[in-house]
Amino acid sequence: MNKTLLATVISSLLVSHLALADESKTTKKETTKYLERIQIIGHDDTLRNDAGSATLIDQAELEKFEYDDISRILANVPGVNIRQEDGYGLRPNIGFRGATPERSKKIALMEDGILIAPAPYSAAAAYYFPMVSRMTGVEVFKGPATIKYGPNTVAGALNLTTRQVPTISEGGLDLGFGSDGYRKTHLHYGNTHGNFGYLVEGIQVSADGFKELDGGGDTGFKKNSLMAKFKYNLSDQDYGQFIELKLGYDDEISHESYLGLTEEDFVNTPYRRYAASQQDLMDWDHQSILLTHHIENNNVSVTTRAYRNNFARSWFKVNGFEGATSLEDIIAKPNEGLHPDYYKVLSGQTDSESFSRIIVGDNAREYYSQGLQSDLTWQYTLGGYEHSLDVGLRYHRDQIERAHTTDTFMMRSGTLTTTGEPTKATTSNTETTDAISVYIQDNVYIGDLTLTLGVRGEFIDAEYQNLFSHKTNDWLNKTSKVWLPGFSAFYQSTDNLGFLFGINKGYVPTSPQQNPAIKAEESVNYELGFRYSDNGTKAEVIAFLNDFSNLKESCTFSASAKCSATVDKEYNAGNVDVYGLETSFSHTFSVNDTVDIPVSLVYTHTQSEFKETFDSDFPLWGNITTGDEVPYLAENQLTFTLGLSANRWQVSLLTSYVGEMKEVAGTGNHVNFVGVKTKPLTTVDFSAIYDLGDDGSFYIKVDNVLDSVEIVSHRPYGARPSKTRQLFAGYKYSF
Amino acid sequence: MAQINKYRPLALVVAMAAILSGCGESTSSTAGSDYGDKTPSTPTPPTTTFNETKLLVNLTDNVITPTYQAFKTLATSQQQAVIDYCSAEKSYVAGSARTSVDTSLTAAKTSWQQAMAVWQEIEVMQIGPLLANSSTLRNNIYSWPVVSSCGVDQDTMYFANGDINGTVYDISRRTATRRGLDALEYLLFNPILSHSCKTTPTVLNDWNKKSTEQQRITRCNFASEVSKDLIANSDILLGEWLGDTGYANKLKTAGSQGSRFESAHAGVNAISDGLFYLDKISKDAKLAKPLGICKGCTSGIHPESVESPYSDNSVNNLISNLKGFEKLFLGNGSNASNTTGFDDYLIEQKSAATSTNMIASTKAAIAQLKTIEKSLATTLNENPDKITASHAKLKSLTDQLKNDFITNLALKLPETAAGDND
Repeated sequence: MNKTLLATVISSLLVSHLALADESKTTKKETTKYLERIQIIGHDDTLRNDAGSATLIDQAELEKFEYDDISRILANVPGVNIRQEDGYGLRPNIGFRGATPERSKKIALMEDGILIAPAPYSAAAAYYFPMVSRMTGVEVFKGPATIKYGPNTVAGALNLTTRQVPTISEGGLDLGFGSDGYRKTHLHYGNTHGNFGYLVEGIQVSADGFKELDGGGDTGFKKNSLMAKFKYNLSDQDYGQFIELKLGYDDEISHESYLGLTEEDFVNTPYRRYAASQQDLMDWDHQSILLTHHIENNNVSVTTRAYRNNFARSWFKVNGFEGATSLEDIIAKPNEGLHPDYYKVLSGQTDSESFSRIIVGDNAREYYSQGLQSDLTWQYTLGGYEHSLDVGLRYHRDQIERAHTTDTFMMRSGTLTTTGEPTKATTSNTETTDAISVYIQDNVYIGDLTLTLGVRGEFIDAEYQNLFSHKTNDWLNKTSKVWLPGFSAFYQSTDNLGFLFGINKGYVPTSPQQNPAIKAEESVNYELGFRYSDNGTKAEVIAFLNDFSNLKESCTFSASAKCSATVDKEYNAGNVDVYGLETSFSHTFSVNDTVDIPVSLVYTHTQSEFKETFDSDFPLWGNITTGDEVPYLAENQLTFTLGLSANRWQVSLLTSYVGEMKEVAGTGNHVNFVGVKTKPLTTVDFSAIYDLGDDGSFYIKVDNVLDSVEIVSHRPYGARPSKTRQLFAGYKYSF
Repeated sequence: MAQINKYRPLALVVAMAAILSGCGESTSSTAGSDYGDKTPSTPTPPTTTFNETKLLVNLTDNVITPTYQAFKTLATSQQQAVIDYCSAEKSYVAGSARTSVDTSLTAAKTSWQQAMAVWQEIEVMQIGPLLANSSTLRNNIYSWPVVSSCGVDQDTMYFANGDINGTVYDISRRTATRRGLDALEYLLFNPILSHSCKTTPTVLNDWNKKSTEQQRITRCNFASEVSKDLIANSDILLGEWLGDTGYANKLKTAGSQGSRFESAHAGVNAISDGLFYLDKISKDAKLAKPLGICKGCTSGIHPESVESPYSDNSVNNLISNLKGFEKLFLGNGSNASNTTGFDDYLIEQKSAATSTNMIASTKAAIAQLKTIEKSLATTLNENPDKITASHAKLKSLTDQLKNDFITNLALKLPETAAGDND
């Protein structure tokens, strides 16, 4: 049946090509619907009539603060929960509506509407995250709209949109410099000649890092991103049509570490890094290719995309001590038991002895993600009502291949020194998933009421295989299928005010190697609210409830050092409720004909509770009692942005507040940081832009004006600081 | 009709919620014979008529408590033996025969071996106070495999000086690698008097300037302090174990109202966790690592990794581990009239074969170890097959422990036993 559907789509495309071949009309139809396909939320100021909480941060908004860190950008989006880690946002941890933020693995992460996590089904943790600095739009949407994307529908979707091929000659240059050796060089140029258009874009961002390594050493990073698009317009007067090839290459070298600090050291030197992390290095590269065909007429549009993403990484980082207790235990309780002996070696104060040899692991992995997806939208009238039907089909395959190794080092006079022993292979396996996804969703417009009913199907074949020669019989094949319905309604009360309601099934599949006894994450998500839009004023208030029938978590190195023996093992929590209120408000006050004061306020209140009592070995849970809160979920988050803008200049001040967060949900001697909460963190960022007209523009910005520093989390291995105050200045020129 | 219309939206929502909650995932799977992670992380306690509380009471009162008390007794006699040796050392006149000194040293060594034999039984009885605060008490008494001869050398001098950087020396505040049975072994059994640090720490600058006799006296003085500290720690252990508020009582009342254990089964699980010392430490750290056959180990023979290298006591330690295990498994302790043990539990659960096999495997492992006539380090070099055979016997037992034992009794595998190190 799935093959039949695929064949229908392909044949319809072929027929349309043949039909168009004989056309020799002169007036060509524009492909206006394509933008809606890759960018889900519209730009205009009219009241949106789609259900679900949705936020668009457009190019102008992104340029206001020139952020490179998605977590700072998302401060303007209600219902987003983030666990900060390295300060630069190199590997963001993003969740929506209480979904675990860990490596953004529970959201549908997309670039131009295509799943972009390294292996979205087999290993959803987004160790690759697109460079936000080259994006022209960031969209967040939650609720029933998510069922068009998947496979993760429990939380929401984050879509990053890249620059479009311009229709005329258009280019830009952005040079930025800042504290801690920050440098940014960003260039793009594109043009269209007749039917052929192209765009090339390159960006390099680097910094020396704001942490200080014991004994000296680099704590910075360098990231490169290149993108090229080639577009050929095939439109005639009846059909808008084009094909586009997008090529991408990204790489990163970052001297980052999972190792944090003890509480006492954090108080004295929050930006310190222990000597044991001297060798830590993340080194990855990513290639992507996307071939798009789009065709549309007045009523129908079909977009078909073939994609392939490759990602390879080497993540060399201190794992712990040979045969000893976990680094997390040592750092959480540095004065207990034998921990003082290990701590002194970790911090380079004493040399290693036979019991304190340091293991540095290279979690080398290669991923690919490829597929073919086709999305159709058909606007038609039935029974006297207008409909808009969305149908999609995707064949997807992804794989992760792990080749983890370890090397042994000794601390010698404050320097990590190799023992010279051979590298040992610790993990060698593959997880592969073939998935066919379908969705069908119909919007019917009944006067002021818009009803949307849809369903998504996921049909997943997953394979796990241990690659060690003596473990060939260590394999697992799993076949899963699930239907994920959703329903939403929007009632437009007046031209400016509308009410929305939505309900959908949430789902996150288990990874291929998980024991079949581990259930997939499932939930029923509800939302209810209203939306207001009137002449520069926008407001949205949405109450939500995510009723998890089974909340699932996985143990990874990035979650806890205690996971090193059970890496990637998943855990079930059963019934959990996450509920809250998302509000956003924005308005622009006009001081006079030339000066405006734009203000916006985003507030999220979230409550969560486990509905069952159970004991868990998962380091972020422990022994759970009914009513315990989910970890790393702030009850209150607030962002207030105040601006002042004139024709040639604008200044903005963004104040964000994130309330305290529990670092472990339950209790128990087997988990660390019981009762520990991150402290509330208030951050103020400032930016100013001066437009030089044809000569470009200057900008300056200050991140963390108050230079406040708090522990943003004790994960993975100890206390980690929020980003220090940093100053930036830059020049932009468009041509 | 108006009433119906009024409730129509609500009915729609309820219907949708019902549909959504019914749309669960369906999964089917096939797995290879070596696919791991077959053990449920939270097994369901068995339906049984077996009296788990009776098991807890017997193991606590007749096995664990007497063993802890025996260690206290031996630690006390050990201190006296060390004091006697020190007196002899101090009375020794340079140039005269060392016969009396050597005799008292031998007595001190024998006393250490006797205390160590009991401690090695306690190693498989680690529960409650011995595990609290990252096993602080256990490590203060015996921290192997985390040991530091250089650290002991430094504290020998710190103790002799009476202070550390102006702070009065207090052994109870020192890290575990500088005290305990492992430190005492180094001080009593190591015949080499030069310090063992690769680079000379400041505190040992004058060590080599001391005469041989001064070095011996300095070491035995610290040995006295270490043996005194061992008594203090065994007192702490008994203090936290015994009495109405002691851990033993909590264990015996597991499952009762206000107990720290939600059920007697959870209490049984806490004791069974300790048995897995045989797997991760006895089998892996004490045998597989010196043999170079454990996961992540460097291949080849590693005599430097053996336990108790100065006293050549490694094999005896292993035998004591197994004897401690056997006591708990059979419930054989101070009261011969009550021998309720894990074997009885298995028989009650219709797993008599597992019980019989594990008892036989324990005896076989002990018998194999007893064939090792020389030290473990020497035998590793001269006849490694004997060590390999001992490892195999022990592995046979721990395989049953990790599979049949916990499955039949629906016990949870301890976190530390996750994964296979073989």
